[in-house]
Amino acid sequence: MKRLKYILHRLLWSVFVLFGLSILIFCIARVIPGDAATMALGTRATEEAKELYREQNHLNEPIPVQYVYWLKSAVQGDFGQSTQTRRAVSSDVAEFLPATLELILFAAILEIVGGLLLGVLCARYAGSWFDNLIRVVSYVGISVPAFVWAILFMLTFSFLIPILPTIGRISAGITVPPVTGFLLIDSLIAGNFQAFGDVLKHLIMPGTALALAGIAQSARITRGSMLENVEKDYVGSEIASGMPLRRVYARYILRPAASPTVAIIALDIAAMLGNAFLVEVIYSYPGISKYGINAILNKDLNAIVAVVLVIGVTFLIVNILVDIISSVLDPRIRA
Amino acid sequence: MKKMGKRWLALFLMSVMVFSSCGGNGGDESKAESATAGTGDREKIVRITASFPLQSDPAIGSNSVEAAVMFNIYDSLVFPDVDGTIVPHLAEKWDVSEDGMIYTFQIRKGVKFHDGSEMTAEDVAFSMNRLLAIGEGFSYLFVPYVKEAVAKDDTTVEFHMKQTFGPFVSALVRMSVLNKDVVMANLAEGPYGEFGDYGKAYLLTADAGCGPYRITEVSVSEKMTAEKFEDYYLGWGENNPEKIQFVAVNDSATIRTLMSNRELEITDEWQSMENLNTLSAIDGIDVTNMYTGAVVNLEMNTKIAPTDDIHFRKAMSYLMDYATVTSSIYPGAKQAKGPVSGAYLGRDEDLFQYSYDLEKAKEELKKSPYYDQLSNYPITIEWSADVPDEEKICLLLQQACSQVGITLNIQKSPFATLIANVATPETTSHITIMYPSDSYNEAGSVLALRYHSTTSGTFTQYEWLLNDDIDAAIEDSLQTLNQEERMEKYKKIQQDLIELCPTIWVCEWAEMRAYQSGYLYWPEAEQGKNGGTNAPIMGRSMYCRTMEFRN
Repeated sequence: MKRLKYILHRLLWSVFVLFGLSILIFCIARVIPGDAATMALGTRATEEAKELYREQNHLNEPIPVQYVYWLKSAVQGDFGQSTQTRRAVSSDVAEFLPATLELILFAAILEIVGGLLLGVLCARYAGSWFDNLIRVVSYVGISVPAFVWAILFMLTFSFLIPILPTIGRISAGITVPPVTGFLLIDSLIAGNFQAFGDVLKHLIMPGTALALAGIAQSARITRGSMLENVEKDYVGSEIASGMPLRRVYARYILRPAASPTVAIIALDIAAMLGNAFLVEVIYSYPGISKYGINAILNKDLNAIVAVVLVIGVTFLIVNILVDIISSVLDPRIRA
Repeated sequence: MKKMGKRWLALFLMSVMVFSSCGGNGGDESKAESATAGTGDREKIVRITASFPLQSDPAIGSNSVEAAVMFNIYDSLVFPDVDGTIVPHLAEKWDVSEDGMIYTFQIRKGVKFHDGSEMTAEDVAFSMNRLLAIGEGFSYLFVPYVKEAVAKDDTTVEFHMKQTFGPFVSALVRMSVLNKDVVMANLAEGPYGEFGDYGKAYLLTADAGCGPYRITEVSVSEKMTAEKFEDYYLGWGENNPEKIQFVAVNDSATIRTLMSNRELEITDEWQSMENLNTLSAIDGIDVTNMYTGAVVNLEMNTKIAPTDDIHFRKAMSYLMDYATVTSSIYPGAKQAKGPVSGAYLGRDEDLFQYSYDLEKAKEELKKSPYYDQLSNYPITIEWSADVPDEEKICLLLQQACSQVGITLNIQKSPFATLIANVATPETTSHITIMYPSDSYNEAGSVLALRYHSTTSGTFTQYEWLLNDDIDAAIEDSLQTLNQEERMEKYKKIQQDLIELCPTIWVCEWAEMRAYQSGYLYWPEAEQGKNGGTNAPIMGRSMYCRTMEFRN
């Protein structure tokens, strides 16, 4: 009951945060220099066409009035039209968001599994050659940006040892009926395992490039936190009482140590929504990050607002999830 | 640790098994293709990198990629030959009334649209009226001159003019013909009365053309694929491309990988010289040198100090090291002779050319009212972040400026910022590098686009020339029906512009694209390679129907 109340409280606050974010980003998008009608229709469009565009999009109204028009439509799921793709922003988001979410979830799995696994192994065998090796390699993982990994992977696995596809989300000639927008899930729904394998292979390079820094970071944090807990008196007494070492590690060392790691991983995953831009550009991956950056560069007002809101919602959801998971892992947080 | 080693080995073996079970590489087809390059087994697809999203609707698109798509998907009444000569296409012949106010075209019979129906004069009239009503894309060429188009019968269409327009027939390369029935059957709600949205939503991902290729797939941010239209009225050769694909790839490392793997046939024209050199070192890849009409312009803002002074601008023109640009930055490029490339009809071949001359630059500076206060007037040159070679031009000019006491600051900006900055003279930098392409093969096209007041404040004119005499002369020349007379008027305008010196005309820009010359014959590239003139019409070089896969 206490936990439910806590979640409801967080959700209520989220609505206010989103409302504030929408006002902020709406205003910022409107004050970016340049005439939106010209950016949308091209510099050589007739004045009549530009005026028609301004009227249709209420651009001649004061910004507060424009915001009210926008909000009315937005609550009905209509975020207006993108000037770049010339179709509803909601259609664009529906197409590009699942692509990026799929990529991020793939990277997240690598980060969680890889980060925790390496962290636990390093803590368990602290001081061994394996621990030292992983600690050194982690520095490289953290310090090298994702786009450099992306290029290195491409040169290695698409060019030198050509075993992975270079660009896109799925190979030409392979189609999957759209259901969820997540091609891995859609291919399984369709029972098309060839497509599943193909999509998975398209995810390997960009997903790994995105995840590497996170894997290194979470491995180091997990290791550090676990080693801190190893020193605690209660761990010593559990070991002395004859409890199997594996159980001690899982229950009394890893569990309390996982809390900061979970928080870092979760925020890292949310941040990937924005950070995936360069990786999406390099692999020509049709995701929301690339779409968002192009929207900013081309003053695509409606798209900018929608993308920032999507990223905002993602951060809020992730934050709430982190709080819930943390409260499960560490009962002191609920108190 | 032994135990751990075993676990690692097991994990590694499992990973290998899982990975292997994923099946073949998605790129296997492509690899197989590359292995058989030149044997005739290759899928005949031409893949070209391009900026996305692109608009294939002929009333909307107007950049070079969109123009290229239109040439491949749609057809027009007249067509530019490989060297730019305008030849009849969907039109068999045409007449113009004595006063130049009515053009009558006879349309070719038996031309089929992609849905199998026959093209008629009604479709032609509809296409022009749609372009005029929407007012986007290439409509700017016709809106000032064309009142309406009327179908007189199935094969006769008339264009009624608001005022005479000498190069009207040449400009018609930009009016693509749409299937009226298809568009009308796919109207959505919109602001054009009975025409709803004029089919704009439908044409985002579909086509209504009769061109050599028909669209099969459009992914708005990723790619556009089209396959050959078997019933195309000009027919097909055995080795013409079966498919064409424009793909949204612009990262240089990705492009190199795709070209090396033979998964890409032609790159975009904005690759850096370093990247082109790397690509041309690969077996079977060549770099084109097509002069398609663009001039590398350093456009000087004539409305802010100190570039508002004619002598200052002339000094700047003498500070440009043209020889280094044409030998090192754009090797093989020709120094520009005024605002119009040699590819256009009506270029004045006797125009004065500036040369790098520090003494003359100093002489001009002495005549400038800013001479004694140069340190108070640092100037800024802005270049597009998408075109790395432009920075080298900036550095070259900066070095020369420093020798005469001018401080030149260099600013790199995204293309969209460059477009936004030109909104007012105050927000426009002193100098901006830009080389817009043009629409039809006459000098008037360049002069109107670059120096008429109506284009001030757009990305085609950062000079803010706003000169009434130049405006009147451009309008007069475009309204002149007699071609010889028109050409003379174009030349006079070019001479006047040389005097006003609003621009540093650096060099004629060669469209340099890497392509798979090992297995692809590309007539336009061959034309450029042999020193011939290419059509100075944006997008024309990407016409795929005449390309051939080598046996």
